[in-house]
Amino acid sequence: MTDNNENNENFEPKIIAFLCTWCSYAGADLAGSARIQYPTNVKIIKVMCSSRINPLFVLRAFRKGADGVLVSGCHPGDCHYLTGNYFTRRRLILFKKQLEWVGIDPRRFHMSWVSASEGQGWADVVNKVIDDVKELGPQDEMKRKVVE
Amino acid sequence: MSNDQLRKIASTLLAEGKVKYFLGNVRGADGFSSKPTTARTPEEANEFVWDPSCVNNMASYLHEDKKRILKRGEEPDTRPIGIFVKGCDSRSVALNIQEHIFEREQIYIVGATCEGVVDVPKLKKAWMKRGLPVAATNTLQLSIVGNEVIASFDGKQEKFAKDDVIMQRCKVCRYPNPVIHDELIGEQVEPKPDAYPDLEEMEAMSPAERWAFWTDQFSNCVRCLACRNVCPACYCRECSVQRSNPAFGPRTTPTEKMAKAQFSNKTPTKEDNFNFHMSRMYHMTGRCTNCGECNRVCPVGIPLRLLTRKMDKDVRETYDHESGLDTEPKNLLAEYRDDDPEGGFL
Repeated sequence: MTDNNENNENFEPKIIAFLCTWCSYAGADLAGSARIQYPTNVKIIKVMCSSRINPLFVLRAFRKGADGVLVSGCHPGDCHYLTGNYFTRRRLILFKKQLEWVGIDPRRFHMSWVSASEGQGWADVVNKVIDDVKELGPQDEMKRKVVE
Repeated sequence: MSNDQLRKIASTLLAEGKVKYFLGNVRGADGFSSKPTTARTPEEANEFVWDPSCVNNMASYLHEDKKRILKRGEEPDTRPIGIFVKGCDSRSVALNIQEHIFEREQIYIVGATCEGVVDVPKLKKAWMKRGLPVAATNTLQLSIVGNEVIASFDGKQEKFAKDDVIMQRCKVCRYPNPVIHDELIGEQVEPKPDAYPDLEEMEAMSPAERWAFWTDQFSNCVRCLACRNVCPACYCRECSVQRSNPAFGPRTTPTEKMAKAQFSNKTPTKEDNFNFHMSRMYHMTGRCTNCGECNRVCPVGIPLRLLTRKMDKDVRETYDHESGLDTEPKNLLAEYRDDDPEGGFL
């Protein structure tokens, strides 16, 4: 499936994380200000609410070469906009199943709830995602290839 | 399966002026197939056929009504559109009513119970194999009796096994009787059991095998967009996978960029095809009524029904939701419950 599996030792995955600005982004911020150590592989994109995340963004990230994608929002019931994350939940659970059906390993796509007070929780989630993706190796399937 | 009954209903409706036009099938040029037609006069309605060759989902043609622009000074015709539906088509019509594309009063539905429709290429192949005369198709009449498809022509009869020539989708059809209708033709038909035998093979595969399977299939796709155009649930004016001209300049605002985001390029490369089919699958989540038209029209034979059937199964198992069963507004991804399953969240 992947060509550069032999480089897995030194493989540094590229993770794209879509975070909601009110909980998860604040949680990641807290992790920073509390000096909690976590890997730097995760590139954060801030969105106003987790329900802003169109599942096609995830496809787009994979297509642009992300090795893993993480979507994170407020805990159900804690949404700043009251109900946003309930919609996210339905959407992403089904989308994950669809990814699995066409053969993308489900461990490449993660969803989580991280609240503004969970700095350590955020670091744990990132570690878990990076461990999973490192195990799988580089994502080579959906990456756009330039044909010479 | 009676032509006469349909013709009588349709021509009466048109003669009395109860509908502005009537959507139905007439016999196609090759004799085997049928083609969708708009009848505006009772004479045109007398050409209608209703037999197992009527594969087309007439609900797709309802959207044409929305696209028509009135001439200057022309009064809009407020009479309903007459439409002929089978069981599967009636769900598509119901979906359009659920999503407020049409109101219930705007459509006059003539439903017919359906034993299944034939896969025309398969029937043609079987016909040629037996060396039957092609000219005979001028007077061909198809009917389904029990487990046989009977083709009668020139006073002769030819029998085919139903399982050999029928559409794949009819073998697992759970709604052979129209779910909504104003008039009904035919006797009630026993629905097939609620099972997904067509998915078993794929479910047994590992992700890597599935990836190999779909890469193989999607690399054939020429992005003709037939699957999108035929779909009764695809009615956007501008399709998210076919942006007209996303021109970005230095003054393009983020909002404009957002509205014009292109999720798959126009070139039918393997990766872009993948994105296209995934987008289509996701947009159909909780809306697809499983009429199987995308699978039928695909010119390169991609088994798109494997995608929609799996989606249908997931949606039913996880949220117990099925679209297009009644006319009550209902949309899976625009609703939520507090106690929705939490599977997969860290």
